[in-house]
Amino acid sequence: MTDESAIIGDLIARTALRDRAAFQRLYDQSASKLFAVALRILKDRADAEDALQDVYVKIWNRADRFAGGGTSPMAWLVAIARNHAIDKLRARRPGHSNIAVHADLPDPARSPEASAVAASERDRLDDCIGRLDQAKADSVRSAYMEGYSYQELADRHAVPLNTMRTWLRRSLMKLKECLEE
Amino acid sequence: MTDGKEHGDGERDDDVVAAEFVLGVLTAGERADAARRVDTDRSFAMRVAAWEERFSGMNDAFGETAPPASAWTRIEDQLFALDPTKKVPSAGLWTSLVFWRGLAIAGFAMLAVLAGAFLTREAQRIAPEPELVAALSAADSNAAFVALRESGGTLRITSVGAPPPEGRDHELWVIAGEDAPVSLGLLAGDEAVTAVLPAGIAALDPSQLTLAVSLEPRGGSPTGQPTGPVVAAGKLKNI
Repeated sequence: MTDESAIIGDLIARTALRDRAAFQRLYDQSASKLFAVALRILKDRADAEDALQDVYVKIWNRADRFAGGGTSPMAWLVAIARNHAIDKLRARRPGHSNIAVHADLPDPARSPEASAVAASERDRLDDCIGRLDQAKADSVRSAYMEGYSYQELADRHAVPLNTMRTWLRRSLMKLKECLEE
Repeated sequence: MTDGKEHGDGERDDDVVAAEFVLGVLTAGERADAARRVDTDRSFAMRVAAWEERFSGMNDAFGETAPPASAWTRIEDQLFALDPTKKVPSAGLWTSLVFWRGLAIAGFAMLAVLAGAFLTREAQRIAPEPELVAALSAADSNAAFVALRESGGTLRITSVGAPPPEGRDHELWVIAGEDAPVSLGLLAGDEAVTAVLPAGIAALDPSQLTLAVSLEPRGGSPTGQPTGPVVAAGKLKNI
């Protein structure tokens, strides 16, 4: 575990102990990342701000669940933010347009430190996704990053829903095999 | 079905659903079903955690965007608005009397059930009779303990719940009033252990004392203060 990861893990544990000062430090250390996640998926600033609030309330309430998990602390936090943002996305009425808003979004900054931390995992995943056909690799990446549903992916790639489902399921199992090599 | 060669199809299907859930491609209804399973089905939850870890290599690509300063205030207001200590950085749970009282009440409800077997087992061994007993438990935790205080400053404590996860230890603490917790040592699986209260604490009114068990790295807290979550807590009661 890296130092940064150990610090975040420690702050989550202290949050589980209802330590508010630790919770605030956890927020300071992670909010920019989780806000970027919510913004990328929801593509709407006001919605992303609401989501961020809900996400940290969840983190406060569920911090004790982290203790037994095998997930790295930052991955656990990002998973909570992604899950919440995708749930909000699915709850929107179809036709919610966000293209115009998307154009206004600033380019998120990359933190070089955070990037270095996950470099080996990132390269490995990149490599394994890269071994899939282009269209399938794009589907996996855009589903994860943008929160696209099977239906949206099928529409984008102009294939029937069931075809997309079969494609992606096979791709996921290939990906798992590749990552376990 | 040609792919179910190594595992049962059920397991493989579970793994596919876990992957689809983490990737985010499911419908709202399917996501709600999967989220419920994460809360109730441990093996499914572990599959989901494994996929979260696998895909975490893409998390860098989200970059970082600072939220507005008002975001933190909104979170604080929602979580702590009713609390008079709002916005005062607190030393945390360990000094929160309200929290301990709540736990003690919850723990006491379990007391009769848990203490019965232990008392029977220990009664022959201990003389004179133990004077105080504590049931230690917490919501959202399978760990539970029963403690007996023998005359003087000696405690006998035994687990009546789940053991710590592999590679971790349960550490026992005593908290006097609002003081920092004092370690009483590690607990040893199913075996009852004896812990000796420091003289200054043993002399206090037992109603001021709270016993707590935290989950720590193997060998105990590296800092001398609890670093992991509280898995059980309770107060000594007269029996």
